[in-house]
Amino acid sequence: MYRSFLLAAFVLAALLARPAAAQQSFSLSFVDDLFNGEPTTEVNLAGPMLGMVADASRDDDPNLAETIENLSGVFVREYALSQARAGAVDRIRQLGRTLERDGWQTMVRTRDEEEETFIYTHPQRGMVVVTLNMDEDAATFVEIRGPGSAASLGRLGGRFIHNGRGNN
Amino acid sequence: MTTPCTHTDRVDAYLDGDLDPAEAALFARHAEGCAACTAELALAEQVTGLLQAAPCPPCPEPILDAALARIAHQERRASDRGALRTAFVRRPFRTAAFALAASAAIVALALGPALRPAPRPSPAEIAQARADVELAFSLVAESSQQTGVFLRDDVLGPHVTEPAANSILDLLGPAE
Repeated sequence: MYRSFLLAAFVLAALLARPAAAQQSFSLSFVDDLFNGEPTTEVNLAGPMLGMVADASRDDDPNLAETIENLSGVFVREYALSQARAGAVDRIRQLGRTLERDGWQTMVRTRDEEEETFIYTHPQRGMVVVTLNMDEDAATFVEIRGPGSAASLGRLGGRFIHNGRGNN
Repeated sequence: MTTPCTHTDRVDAYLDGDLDPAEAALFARHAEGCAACTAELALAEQVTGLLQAAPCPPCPEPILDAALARIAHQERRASDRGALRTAFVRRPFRTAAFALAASAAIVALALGPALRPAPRPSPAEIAQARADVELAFSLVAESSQQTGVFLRDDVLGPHVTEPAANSILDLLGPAE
């Protein structure tokens, strides 16, 4: 009994001492492998932090609080487009196919000389917005994780367009 | 091969110090003359020694730092109170206790991040998180608006509204 306990505790400790980082993953993580260097903007908000932001916003912005409350994650990556690895832009353009296989819908796909925009939505999983801006040399990825309507998110976000970037 | 003894099941309790003093003395006297119990005690000490000699799995640095800081804090408190307690501990029990404590410490260090409640973010961190959410929402809105403008100016205008207007004008004929 005594020795069995010691051995069991030792084995358990050795197993649990493995790094826990491998347990974390999110759908935007693939983006980090497409670029050289660090993102210019990186936002990873999930779990209790979102709840606290919702609580802190309840008095002065109840709409924002209610929207955040229903979300399980908010992730942003911005990279310099010139730092994209070979073939990365093609992979980004083909992202829609992968998402569509997983039940996502391509809501918008627009292309002109200066900018390409892709908006993908899923009724339960949320929304992914990808913008490739050639003029500004920027690739932007936003994932809003959780149920929510793209229209209401757009309306809500419209109020922050002029101060959102300034705060970061 | 040693002859089986019905008292070997008391070895763990003896080593753990769970026997009362009279029982412990009785068992110690018995063990001196019992080959099975002596062998069992020796084996227990051997296992303890092996466990102590085994390489310890590397501990993540942040956990180690936090544990060391906590130990230092507790030592300071104990020192402040001037209540450093010393006690006589028998060697077998001390060895077993050390092995148990070492195992428990490793388990605690490994489980630490999962069991320890996450520190509550400061108001400044919450405010920054809110700014980050607003940034994300603004990026979504910006893309939606640009897309809306693109649809209106580049799709609906030249491909739907203008052709429809031209068709109607053609049907109506030239203005008089």
